[in-house]
Amino acid sequence: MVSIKLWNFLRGYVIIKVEGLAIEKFLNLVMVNEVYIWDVERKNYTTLTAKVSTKAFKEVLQYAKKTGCRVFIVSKKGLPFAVFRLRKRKGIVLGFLLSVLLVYLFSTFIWEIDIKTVNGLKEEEVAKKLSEMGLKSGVSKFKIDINKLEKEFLLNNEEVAWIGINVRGTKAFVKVVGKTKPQKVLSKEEPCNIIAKRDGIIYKMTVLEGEAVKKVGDTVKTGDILISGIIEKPGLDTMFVHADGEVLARTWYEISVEEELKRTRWVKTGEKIVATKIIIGSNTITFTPRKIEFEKFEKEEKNLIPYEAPFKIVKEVYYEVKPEVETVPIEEAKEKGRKKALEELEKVVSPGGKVVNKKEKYEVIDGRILRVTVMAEVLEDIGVKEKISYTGGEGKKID
Amino acid sequence: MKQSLKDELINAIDFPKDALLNLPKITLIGKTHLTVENHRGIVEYLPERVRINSTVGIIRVIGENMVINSIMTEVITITGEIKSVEIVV
Repeated sequence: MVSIKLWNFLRGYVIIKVEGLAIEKFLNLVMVNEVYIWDVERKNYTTLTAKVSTKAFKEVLQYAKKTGCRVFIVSKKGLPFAVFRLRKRKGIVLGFLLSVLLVYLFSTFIWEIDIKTVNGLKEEEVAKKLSEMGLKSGVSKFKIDINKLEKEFLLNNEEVAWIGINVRGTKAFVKVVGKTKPQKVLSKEEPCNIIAKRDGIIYKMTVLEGEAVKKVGDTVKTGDILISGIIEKPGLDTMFVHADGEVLARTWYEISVEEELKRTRWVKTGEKIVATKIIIGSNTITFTPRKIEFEKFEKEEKNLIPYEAPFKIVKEVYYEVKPEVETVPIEEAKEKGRKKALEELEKVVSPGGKVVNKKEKYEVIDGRILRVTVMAEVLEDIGVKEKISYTGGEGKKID
Repeated sequence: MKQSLKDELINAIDFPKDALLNLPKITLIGKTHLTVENHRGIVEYLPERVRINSTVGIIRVIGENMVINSIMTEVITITGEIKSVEIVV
């Protein structure tokens, strides 16, 4: 059916109105002569509308005359007539073609660059560098070679581990992953001591290289040398080595955290004002039923146009709020304070440290503040490598 | 029966009867489409009543807002709300 309709449209047809008394006779005559006529509709006793192809129209006219009917053309439909009409209005055709061409042309440019970075790279910097290399908004898609650009970008930027550029439509999606810098480790050949980074009592010592200065059970202070990289033996030259080893020690921590027992909560009073904003570029038009005279309010924003459009319609609801002081249940405050303190503890203990013993103390100050004190005994590696700055010239370096 | 021999013969060879006996083939699709093949012309056409001539008599179609979709020498297609199809001899 669709194909027939399309064919008729392409060839062009006329909608005719036939008036007369012997309409059935007319139809039979048309039919017998194998003229295709369709969508025949009886309007009333003497009139009928039908569709007939342009070519067959003359024939139909003939049969109408024979049966004493009159034929009127209601309208001309189809491609040939449309083309004929458009021939008189060249401006429209030209404009249409021009707009198609423009849409195509503009879609071959990159208009927007969306940059996402991972590992602390600055988006603005990446954008700047990319634009220096040719990828900026307004550049033709054919002019840039993405593979080459990616490679060059990686070569020129040491701190970048990976870059991915994806052009979708007129938008370029750039993803940049920065390198995670490894911690500065003293090179294995550098002579060093291992010193204590924290006070504590040595629990276990494993010396891999160098000479142990302290032994298990010793109390050490921050900065004390634990394993020395200078080896002095009677009868031998002083040697400088890269001391290595693990020094597990018992350390103690005391962390205090304060928790408010009274807190203010903002409660909605029920009063609200709804404002509508239309944002076009940097211009904003705001419609509000009245001035927002609330002393304190909570704002709720909702974008009414979910997709990205050049303009935005934002609905803002302002709720009036008033403060309400409430007492925090002591148990809740305790739990919260304890959690916070433990988090703090985790931050200061060196990685791998194990909490062996833990004590908590709670005290209320002025009925307003709860102080949570966590005392912890930790087993951790307190050794840290420190370069030896040797002044004497007698030392011999070991390779 | 005058044609009994012919009828029997046709029954025996199991041939489509509409082609051999010049009978109309009336097809009704749902209650909206009606096609009549092998007809003998339109007798009457009104939006609520269509009468089509055929070898077995006049086929009367009663309905509402009926439109002749296409008419050709062999086939007539009618669309609209069809209520009844009768053959009036």
